[in-house]
This record gives sequence, structure tokens and C-alpha cells, in this order.
Amino acid sequence: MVLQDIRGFLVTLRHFFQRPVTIQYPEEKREQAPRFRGLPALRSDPETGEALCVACGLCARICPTSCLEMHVVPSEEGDRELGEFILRAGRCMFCGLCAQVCPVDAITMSGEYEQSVLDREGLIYVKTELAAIGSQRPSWWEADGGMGSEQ
Amino acid sequence: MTATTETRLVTVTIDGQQYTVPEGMTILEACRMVGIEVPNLCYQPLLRPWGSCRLCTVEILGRRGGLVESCAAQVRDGMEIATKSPACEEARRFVLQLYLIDHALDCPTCDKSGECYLQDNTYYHNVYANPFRRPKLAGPYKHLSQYIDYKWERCILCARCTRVCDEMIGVTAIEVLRRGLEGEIGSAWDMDLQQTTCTSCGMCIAVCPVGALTDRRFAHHPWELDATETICAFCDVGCTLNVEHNRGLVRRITHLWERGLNYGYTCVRGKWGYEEVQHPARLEQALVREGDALVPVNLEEGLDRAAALLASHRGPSFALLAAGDRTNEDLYLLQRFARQVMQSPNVERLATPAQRAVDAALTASFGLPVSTNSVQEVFTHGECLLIVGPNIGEKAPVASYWHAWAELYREATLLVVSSDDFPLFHRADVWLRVRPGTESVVLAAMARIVRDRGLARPVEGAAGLEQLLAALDAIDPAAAAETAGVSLAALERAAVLYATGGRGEGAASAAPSQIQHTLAHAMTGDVYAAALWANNLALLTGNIGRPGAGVVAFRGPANAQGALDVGCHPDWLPGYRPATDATARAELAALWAEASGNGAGAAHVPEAAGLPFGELVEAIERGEVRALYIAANSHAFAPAFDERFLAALERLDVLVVEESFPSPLVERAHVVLPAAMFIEQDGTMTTADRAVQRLRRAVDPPGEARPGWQLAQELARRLGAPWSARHAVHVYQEITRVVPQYRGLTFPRLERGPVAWPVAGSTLPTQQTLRIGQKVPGGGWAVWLGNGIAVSDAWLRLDAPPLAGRVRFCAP
Repeated sequence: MVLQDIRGFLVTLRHFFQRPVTIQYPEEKREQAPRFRGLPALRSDPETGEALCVACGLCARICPTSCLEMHVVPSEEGDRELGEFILRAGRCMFCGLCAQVCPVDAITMSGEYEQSVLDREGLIYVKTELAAIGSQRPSWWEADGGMGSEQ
Repeated sequence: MTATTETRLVTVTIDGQQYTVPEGMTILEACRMVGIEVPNLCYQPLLRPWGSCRLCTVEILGRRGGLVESCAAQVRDGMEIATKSPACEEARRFVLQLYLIDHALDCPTCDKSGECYLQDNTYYHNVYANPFRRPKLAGPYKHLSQYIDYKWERCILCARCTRVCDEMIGVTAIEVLRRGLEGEIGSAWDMDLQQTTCTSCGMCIAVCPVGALTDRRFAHHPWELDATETICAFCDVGCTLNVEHNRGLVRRITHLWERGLNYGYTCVRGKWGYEEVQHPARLEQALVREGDALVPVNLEEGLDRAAALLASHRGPSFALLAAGDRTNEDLYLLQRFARQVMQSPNVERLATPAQRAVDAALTASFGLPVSTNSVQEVFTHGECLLIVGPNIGEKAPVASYWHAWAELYREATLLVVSSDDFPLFHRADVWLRVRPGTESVVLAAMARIVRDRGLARPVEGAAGLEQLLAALDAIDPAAAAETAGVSLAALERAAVLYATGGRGEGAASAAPSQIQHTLAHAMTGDVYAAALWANNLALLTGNIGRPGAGVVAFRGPANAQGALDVGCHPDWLPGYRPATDATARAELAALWAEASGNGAGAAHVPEAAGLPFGELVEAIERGEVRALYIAANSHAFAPAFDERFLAALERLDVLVVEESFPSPLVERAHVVLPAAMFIEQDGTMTTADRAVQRLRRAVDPPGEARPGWQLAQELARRLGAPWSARHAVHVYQEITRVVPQYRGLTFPRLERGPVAWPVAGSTLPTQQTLRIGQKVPGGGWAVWLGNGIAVSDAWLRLDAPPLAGRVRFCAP
């Protein structure tokens, strides 16, 4: 009996000197896999900071749950411009079709996964919030080789 | 080309099926007629073939066959046509591949994507890979005007836009500039279109098969929009509009080709008038006066207040003024409100003196204030057109398109009497550029010349000919030419051409000539005399009761005709029955009592005729009329108010204004009720040439604004009349019973398209429009009254009392 107890503690002892597997969330956060599909976010040109979106509306069109809403306004040049962009994350099923369909890779699935909110209102993201999420970590874009740029 | 030729029929085989089509038709039109779609990019209905896109290629089978452009080749007897053979599919695919070399392919951000002819055909012909490639050329977007953008890299140079601009609109503001790969669409010297002859009608955008010419204010995809077909209410041509809207806002107006009175064409008001409808200044709430200020209240409270104020003013001290751009339903219930609930005969239109003068002149000559013929006759019979009055290209633009078209395609003679400049007038055979206000002098001189040259063919049976001929003695053409500032030779030429239908002196017979005038918009001169001389001229040359002839008067507000039809006139009850006629009043009272239902008892219609506008203003000034209800619609295209009238309004005890915009009337009102505009309500309107058309609600009115008939009904209910219409159709049903001219014009019938009153029968297909003065079976003149469900023998005749002498010459 005693021998079995000691054997058990040996396992514990072995793990005691190994590096811990548990991360100290929320102080510490795990790096997501490159193709992880978090909250869809808006991307801007890393050099000029200009939004990449050309307001074609294909993401809103293809969204299976209609959680994306795009308001387009005519721009000064005669082109179209993004007026407002709304993501109803409560309805989003993170399928990634919006990122796939985007002709200019302006929308991509970010690594953002912390989405708990206190009320449903908080699940509605607007253009500036999505752009802020998108600019958090440029590494998301670099890692995102597979999603948008296939086209 | 001008003579109406007999159409022969030929038999052709299209895709293995035999069809009989009129000779002289192009293959493309024949295919369209029998329902076979032939792909095309540069074909435009009503315009001549162009043949630049090469996509409508079809194969002619047989020994002398081959590939031909179907839009430009005519059908021949016994022709065998294959529209989908491998050879023509291959040819089309090749053409499409060539287009796609330089086409921008920015479909995701292109406004046209989804309804683009090039995109559709690329899919349809399965062009998925292009063997011809080179780097795309890019050019900057050009702002041709505040409305129109041009994107060169999308343009396929089919010249649809320039052809429409030149051949239909008649202004030639844009053309193809330069040649070859540098070719582009633009104005002369790259001027902003607003500084050129452009009328901003937007038809170039409408006909562009790709997204090269785009609406600067539109940034949506077609598939995001819902469409509602309705009628434009900014002038009385009555164009059909396709209102495209989403999220409760109108996004653009598109065009239903070959539909409606306008065949899909619109003017600047039709194309961009919706911006006026959803203008931020629109009134959204009821306002009531508290001291000097107008305080917003909810609609119920506003109606309560209005009813309380009006309750103590029943009888002749109340008057109603209604603008002519309200629907028939609004106007009908408003006049019923005034006559039945308020017991006042004072029902009048809010119109300018010129509009009233034109109506009076038409009444004097033809018995009723209506245009005698349809504008549409330009297409079938138009050989000579006399255009009189202020710039028709601005006042009734779509009618002016038909003039340009008739001039070009029917080789019609165009005569213009106008002081304004419009590109179309430069193409006229004779343009008498008269001094402003001298139209009456010129028309009278033309009548004198017609008489002196022996070209008069006076309409038989019309009274007053001798007096008119005698009155002509006093007219001196030379002096008239002097007064008007035109040459006598030109004046004489115009008179001769008009009298002979453009055939000139010595012709064996005279072709019909139609007068279309916009005198109701005139700011100066004796409008009554001018309009009367126009009528006399038509009567004197036998141009009444003839197809392609007559007088068409454009009177400004979209429903100027309907307002009169439904009784918004001091002298006339609904259906032009005299207000002084006891029988008419008794019948109307009985109908109203029945329509009210639930035993409201006999309605009473006030006995006397009401005060016409001028006397009404005087009565307000004298303090005899103490309460006034004005149903106005002061949008940007409405005429301004008379200063004296506005000053008189200050003297009223009660002024209730139903308005859609802040206006001088609102400033003086005690209660303001917010009114809906045309895109926001169901109903009907009647055009200048009597065509009744259906308006459909596309978007909701802003705030608490409501259609006029609902407001009138709510007020009536508060004043004890149990009216209970739940939809405009209920009001319209009542109109069809009360107004004999509208009998048989049921809502389901109007759903199919415009119908001009009167009609025979309620289910038959629409017959040719009855022309005033047309001979009816059995002799006499048709005067269109009582011609409801019954057939032609119910037409009242001129020789039957009380209508004897209703078509007559009137010496001013």
C-alpha cells in the first residue's frame, strides 16, 4: 500500500519540476492557431492606416445569418464609401464566409474570442470598434494566410 | 415616313417556330414581340438601330444566310432565324471576350452590378476565361455634373446615352469624344453638364447598359432594393416611375421601359424628385399656434384642435383651397368635407391665375376644362405640332421628348411659339421667338392668316363662327409680328404649316396638327386670350375631333385635371355638374347620404355656387370668410403664392393648413396638419390628357404625416360625419359612383396601366381615347358625359340641351 502511495507521489513530484501547462488567464493569454475564427474584424492598411474596405457589401450579402449590416454612402470621388458597419455578434456563427468573399481582404476573422458581455447591446459592434479590434494585433493578419487571400 | 402606311405582315421562322410579324420590323424587335430574348447592349426601344455592340448577332439559315446584327436587319418573308445556334453563340462569346479585355471588372463596387447587361451576358454566355489579356487601363472618375458620374474604364461606348440625349431628350449635351481607345463620353470642352444644355434628366444613366454613367447619390446594389411602381406627381404628364427603396427610404428611381405614358423615360423631377419627398425639412408633426409660436403636438391633438376651431364656422364663412397635386381621393374627400360637413359652397383650387385662365379658356371653347386629345397620338398620328408657351422642356419635359422623337422619327413639322430658349426649339421648322406675353397676339394673327389664305376648314356645327370671323377683321398680322418681335414671313409660314398639318399651301388635304401649350405656366401676358386663340385656331383649321390633332394644355400641378373632375371648383360639383342645379345637388346629397352608411340621414349640399379665387380673397379681406382650410403641397416645384392672398390670410379667425413643407402658409396658420406626398400614399391621379393612373405607396410618410383624405376624414368624424374609408380604394369607389366620367375605371383596371376617361364598359380592354368633338354614331358631337358603363349611345350630344353649343368659337 505504502509503496503504491509513494509511486503516485512520484508522478506528482515529476510534474512538480516541469513547466506549468495552465496559463494565468486573464493576465496571460494563449496564442490562437493561425486559422482560428474569432470575431470578424475590419482591417486597415498597415502603412497608411486607411481602411481597406471598398464598401461593396458582399460580406453583408453572403452572411448566412444576416448579422452584418452595411450602410454605404457615395464618396467624393464618385466611388462608394463605408458609412456604417454593424456586426451583430450574437447572431454570428463564425463561419468566415465574409472574410472569404471580401475582394480586398478588408474583413478577416480575428483571434478575438472574449465576447462575454453584460447585456445584448454589447454584442452589437460598429465600424470603429471592429476597426479597433482589427488593429489590436497585426500578427493576426500575417498569420491569416489561408482565409482571405486565396482569391 | 410620315404617312400612316398600311402594315403588311410577313411570316418568319424563329428558332424553328413560325411567326407572323409586321413587315419592316427589325429581327430583334420581332423576336422581342414574340417573346424571344436576344442579348443586346446598344438597343434601346424607340430609338433607331445603332449596331455597335455586335451582341445581338443571330444566324440567318439558308443559302444566302450568315450572321447578321438583328437590331439593324429587317425581317423578310420566309426568313429562317436562329437566335441560339452555335455559330452566333460563338460570335457573341468572342465579342464579350473582347469587351472584357478593357472593362474594369470592379463589379463588387459597381452600382450596376446585378442588373448589368455585360455582366448578365458574360454569365449567360459562360465566358469564364479570357484568352485576350493585357494590363487594365485606369482612368479617374469624372464628375459630369452634381448628379452624373462617368467611369471611363467601365464604358463600352455603345452610345446609348448620347443617342438618348440627342434623339429623345433633344439637348445633345453629351457626345462621344475622341476616337478608338481614347474614346469617352463627355460634354463639349469637358464643361460641367450644368453649364451646358443638359436638363439633368438622368436618362443617360438610365440607359447605360454597364456602370459607366452612374448616379452620384446612389451607392447601393440593385438586389438590396424593393421596387414599387407609381406615378410622378411633379407635373401633369403623369410619368410612371419605378421607385426603388429599402429601409424605409427611396434610394433611386428607375425606369420601366415601354410602360406607362412615358415609356419609362423621365425628366429631372421624376429621376431625382424623390429627394424632395424625403427632404429633411418635411413636416412630420402637427403644429398648433400658442400665441406667436407654433408648437408641435401629436396628430390627434392637432386634429382635435382643428375640429374645435372649425366647428363654429360652418356655412359660407368657411372656404377650402386645395392644391392640384393632391390625389383624386384627397381632393374628393376635401371638397366633400367642405360641402357636406362644413356646409360651404366655397371650394376652390390653390392655383395660379394663369392656370385658372387656361381652364376657363378650355371651358369656353369645349364645354369642359379638359385637353381634347391624348399626347400619345404624337406616336401614331402626329404630323405637325404647335408648341406654345413657356419652355415645355422644363414645364412638361417628357412631352417635349415626344416632340423631339416625332420631329426625328415621324418627320413631324415642329412649330414653336415661345420666348424661352430650349435646344429642341432650334430644330423646329418655325420658331417664333416672341416677346414674353405676346403669345395671344401671335396666335390671333395666325388665325387671321389662315382665314385670309383660305385655309380655314372650320369645325362643322361649332357655334360662333361668324362672330369669330368678324373679330378677325380687327387683327393685323403685320402689327402682330411687330408687337411680338418676329418676322411676318415666319409668322405666315407657321400659320400655313399649322393649317395644313405641315404639308404647305396647295396641298390637296391637310394633315392633323396638334397644339400643346404650357400657357398655364406663363408669368406675363393675357393667358386667357392666348389659350382661347389656341382653341380657336384648332377649331378654325378643323383640328378638333381628329386623331393627332386637338389642343393639349399642360396645367402644371400633377392632378390639375383630377381636381376639377372631382369637384374642387366653386361652380362644379363632382363630375362637372353645376352647383346651381337642384337635381344635381339632390342626387349628390342622396349618394353622400348612402355612402356615409349607418343612417346618417340625408346629406345636404349647399345651394349657391362658391366664390372663385379672386372673390374669395376679397371676401377674406372684407371679413366675410372667417375660416379657411388649405390643403397645400409647397414642394420646390410648386408655384409661389400671391402676396395679396398671403396678406389676406392674416385676417382669418381660423386657418388650418395641411402641408408637407414649411411655407408662408404654415407661418400664418393656426393649426398645421402634416401631409403625405405622392410616393407615400395610395390613390389615383389624372393627367393633363385625362388618363387616370394609380399611385402606390412605396415608403411610409415621415413622422405623423398622413394622406390628405385621411386627415379630411378624421376632421369630418370629429365634426359628426361618420366616414369610414379604410383605404384610398374606398374613396375611389365612391368617386366612380359620383363622377360619371370615372365610371368603369375601377382600381383593378388601373392596376394594368393608365386609362383615359371616359371609357365604355368596365371590363373591355382600354379603347382608344375619346376625342372631344369626335363624331359619335348617330351624328352630333361627343361630349363625353354619362359615358359610363353604357355604350356610345349614352354619349351626350352637342345638339341636345343643356349642352347645345358647348363646342364653340369664342371671340375674346
